[in-house]
Amino acid sequence: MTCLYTFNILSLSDLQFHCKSEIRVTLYLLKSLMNRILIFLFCMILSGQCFSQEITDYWSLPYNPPKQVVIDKSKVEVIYEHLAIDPVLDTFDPDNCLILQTGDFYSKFWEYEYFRSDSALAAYGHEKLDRRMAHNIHKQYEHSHRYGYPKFIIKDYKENKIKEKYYVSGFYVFSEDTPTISWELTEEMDSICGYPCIKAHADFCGRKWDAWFTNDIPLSDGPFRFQGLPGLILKMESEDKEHRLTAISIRNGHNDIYEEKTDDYKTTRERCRKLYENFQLNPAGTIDISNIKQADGSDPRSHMQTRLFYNPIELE
Amino acid sequence: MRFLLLFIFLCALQGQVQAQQNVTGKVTDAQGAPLPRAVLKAYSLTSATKIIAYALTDSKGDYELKLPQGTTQANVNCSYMGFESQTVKIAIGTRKDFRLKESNQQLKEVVVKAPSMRSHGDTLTYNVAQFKSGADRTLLDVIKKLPGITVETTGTIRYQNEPINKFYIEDMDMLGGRYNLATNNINPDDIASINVYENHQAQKVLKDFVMSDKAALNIKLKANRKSIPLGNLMLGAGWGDHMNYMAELFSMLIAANRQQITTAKTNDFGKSYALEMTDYLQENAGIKTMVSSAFGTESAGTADVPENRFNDNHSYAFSNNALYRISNDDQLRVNLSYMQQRSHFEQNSQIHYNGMSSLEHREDNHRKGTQHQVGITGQYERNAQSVYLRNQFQLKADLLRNEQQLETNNGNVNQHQRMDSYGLTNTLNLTTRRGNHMFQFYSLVSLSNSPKGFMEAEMEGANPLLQNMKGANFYTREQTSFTRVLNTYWHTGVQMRLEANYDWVKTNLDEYQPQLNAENQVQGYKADLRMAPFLEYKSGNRLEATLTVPVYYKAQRYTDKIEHLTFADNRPYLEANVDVSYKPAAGSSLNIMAGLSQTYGDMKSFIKNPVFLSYRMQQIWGSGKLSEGKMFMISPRYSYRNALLGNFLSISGQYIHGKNNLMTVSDVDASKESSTLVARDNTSNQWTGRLSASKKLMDLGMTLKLDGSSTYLMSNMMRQQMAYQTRNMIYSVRGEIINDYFQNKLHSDLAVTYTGRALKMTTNTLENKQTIENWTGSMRVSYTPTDALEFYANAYMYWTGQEKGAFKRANYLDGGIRWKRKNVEWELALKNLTDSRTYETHTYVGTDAYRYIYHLRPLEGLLSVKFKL
Repeated sequence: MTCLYTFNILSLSDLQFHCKSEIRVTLYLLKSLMNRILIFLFCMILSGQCFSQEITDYWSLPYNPPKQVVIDKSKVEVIYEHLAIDPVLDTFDPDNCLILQTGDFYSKFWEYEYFRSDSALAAYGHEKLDRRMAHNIHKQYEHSHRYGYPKFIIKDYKENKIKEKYYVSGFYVFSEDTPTISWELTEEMDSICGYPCIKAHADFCGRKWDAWFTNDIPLSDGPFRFQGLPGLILKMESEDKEHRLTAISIRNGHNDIYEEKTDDYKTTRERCRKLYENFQLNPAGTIDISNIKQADGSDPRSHMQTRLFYNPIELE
Repeated sequence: MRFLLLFIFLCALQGQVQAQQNVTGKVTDAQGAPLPRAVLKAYSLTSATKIIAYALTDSKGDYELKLPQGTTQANVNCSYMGFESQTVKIAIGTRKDFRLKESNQQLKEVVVKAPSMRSHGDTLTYNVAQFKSGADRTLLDVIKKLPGITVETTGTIRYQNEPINKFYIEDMDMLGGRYNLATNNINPDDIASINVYENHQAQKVLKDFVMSDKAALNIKLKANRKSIPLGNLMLGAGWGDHMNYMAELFSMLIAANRQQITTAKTNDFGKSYALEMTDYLQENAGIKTMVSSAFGTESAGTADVPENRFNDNHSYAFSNNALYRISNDDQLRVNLSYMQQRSHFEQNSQIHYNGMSSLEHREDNHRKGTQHQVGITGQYERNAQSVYLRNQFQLKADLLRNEQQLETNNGNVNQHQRMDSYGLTNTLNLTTRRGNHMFQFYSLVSLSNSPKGFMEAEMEGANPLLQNMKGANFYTREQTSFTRVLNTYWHTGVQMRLEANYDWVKTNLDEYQPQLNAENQVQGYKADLRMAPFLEYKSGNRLEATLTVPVYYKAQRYTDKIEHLTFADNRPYLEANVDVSYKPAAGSSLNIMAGLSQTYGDMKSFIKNPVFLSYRMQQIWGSGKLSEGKMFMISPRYSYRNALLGNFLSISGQYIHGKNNLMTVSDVDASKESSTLVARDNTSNQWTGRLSASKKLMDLGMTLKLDGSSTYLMSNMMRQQMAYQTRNMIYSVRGEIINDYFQNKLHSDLAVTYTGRALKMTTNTLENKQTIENWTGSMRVSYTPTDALEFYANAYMYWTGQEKGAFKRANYLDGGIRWKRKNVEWELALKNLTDSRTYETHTYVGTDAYRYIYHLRPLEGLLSVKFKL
């Protein structure tokens, strides 16, 4: 079980930034003699790398985050709380916060905790940190990976494109034209965060949505891929009540909007959706752990939860 | 025909196209640069709110508004973030360009989820900075203000109406149940946040496996307050009836692998340290001999006014608590405590005994009590993912002396009471989990002894009384359980428990009273074997249901050494319990517990001769017949919280229906009050309801709290050979408003409590109904013009009355000034500014009406200086 844990923790939280450590993890996992020979050959090829690994402690290496490219400056920042229910597992996702940073030409929608830990790391100065310190700062913000939802959504209003980045033991990115959502305005009004809001309705990717937008903030933007209303969306609710997004904080923006340059796999929305569905519905199936046995001889996969939380925003 | 259809279709299309009349144009800034993503909205002329069409500008700043059919004119609004918006009336089909002026107007910033509270799954975090004010001295002052949390006057901390089950400092349990040692002393400035862990399961092994409906509290220190010694030393001198003193030392060190709290305190300013020394979790119930709690430690009766108003005291307390983290999972804990409390109370009491011939008894009581309490606890705990192991060793000593001079309607009495008790407890707890199997073992061994206890009374015109009582107890509980996970939803298993109790009691009245046969010497054991198979259903985090059907086998054997009688009883019996928890949505939960159970008496049923607890209170604990009963209980509970909006609500109820084969007989005459038990069927019904709601108004920074409770008890008793049905009802409502005004310079806390008590006694021929109403109000106002200075005033009112409008009123006022400079804090506290010297209260105890008059401490002042580390 320890092996499995190590694998999970490393692969799911840190590995994306530190490809080198994959070697260490692999070393740890493959224990049979046959594999050792293979590793030996593998090591021969990558001997230079391996030697440097042996003498340096991984955690004391300098913190080397992906490069951040500033694309815009945020004008308005909205923090949304997202409540989601998985009707099959019959559980709800603990309330998560997401931030929308919207500027003149770009907007970025991502996890608020991630935004906070990134800001904290930037405040310390990346060059002053080693990996252990960076990891501890990440941990302070209870930074948890939310599977089943994109890591970043960047809306490019110049080119009218939307770029989404997902993570399943690697970054998957796709870009497509901003979808046109045919909103139906109603005369219903409500107050959200003290802003008068008008209710609108739309069918989007297999769900019926109600959105509340405000005239007082003339920015046509919203959470996830939603936009196209004559004001900022402050609340969204799916008709089946499986998703609810509510603004909990609205502020004047002053932060840079940046894009992280990671090694991405280019893909399409359909393939990305399928990849995710596979992973969430059968997480054990995506990892090759056939060489690992439990202490009592059983297959570790039998102890793994068969299905993870899965209820995407878009059903089609 | 086809062409005709096509023609018609094209005509129709034509109409549509024509109906879509457009407004086009360009949006630029004052310099003429295009503004992309500007918002254009068209409103109908008749309504200022109905949007009939809207559009956004493209990257060149161009827009095209498509208006619906039939519109000839519309009000078009053009807006862009950071620019002034414009609205103009436009005729359809025209072109309109907008040139917008930049504005400096900033967005109205809102934070609904103020950083004051955050929830993340089952963890709720209160940001202390958002709740703290300059008027708060201790962490408890802040905890009292938190919505969702109630602190009772007895010191118990409740979250959503349920007492908390653990108290952590930085996720380490140093104090066990004596959490007020931390909350009463820690400076709130050192604390960053307070967490509530809902459904807290302390054992990591049982996480996600055995749910708990109780919550734990965790306090987190500010990063720069960790690993350094914190604390304060306070010295004070004052005057009142005589010179007063107060000296208190508190020190604390919270580091990653070590925690320590030391206190040493003394005062004669009315302050009791009992709150800090009480174990509120009572994992193992301490001293258990049958005579150890025969005498009270406090004043007679319960008062609404706090004890520090009438307690003429000398109090000393010392405690040392240390926790060492040996490894990530292993901890070692040692707690030492000593408390000495010398109290002097002056009281008048008057008891009105209800019944066929109502009697009254009066006494003036001068009471000097001394209590010594010593406690030593050592604990090793290993809390790992796969195993939980804990061994706790506890030693306790409790020495009590009371000296009373009483003036009664029957003459003067000198009365002494003494009780010495010692207890030793060892608890071992082991839980292991391997795959789908779980094994639990719990063992508790406790030895208690009360080697010396007596009550001695010298009465005018009567023989003196000397009642001796001694007791010893050995108690052990061994418990083990096996659980098997059937699948994701179903668990099953069995719990086995063996409880064994050996008791020994000896009481005798001294030879001064030879006419009374009043010697008891009874000893014996009770063993109780419980096998409880259970079935548990768990669906995600939402629904959980458990059915337990315990089978018991009880064996008891008691011997009366005086009468050479032996009583033995062996029997099996069955009980049933259902527990269902359901979470309808995030933050809300519903829980229903119901059970059928049997109750059997213990050795007390065979202590048949009277025991004098005071010069006039004579009790016969048993009738020589084992008490037997059946009980049905159901208790639903609903709680809801939304940290986002600051709303907390909890409603709970309980209904208990009981049947017993014994009935209490209370007989009263001019010289004594006796209670005994007779064999007679007795049915009782009890309804209890509790409500607790609180709201934090985020924009105003105001906290509102409302608590209500009611109890209705219907039972039967006998007095003077007459059976009565008695109904007791207590209902109380408390409302509290906490607010800060003028940029947090003025703080106020206003609370009002109403308590009503009703008593009804009925026989076939007679009905007696009485009510007492109490109003209690308190107002605390504190003004902090600068961070260094505080002026405060506390006003209290206590009104009590038996008839509507005829209230006995008592009002008190306290006040003071506090001045801080660097690490030194000076304070002048004035108590009882109105110099009220008496306080009267009325209450019901069972069927009888009690009236107490307390003699209060005078107007007094204390000048103190506090050095902070």
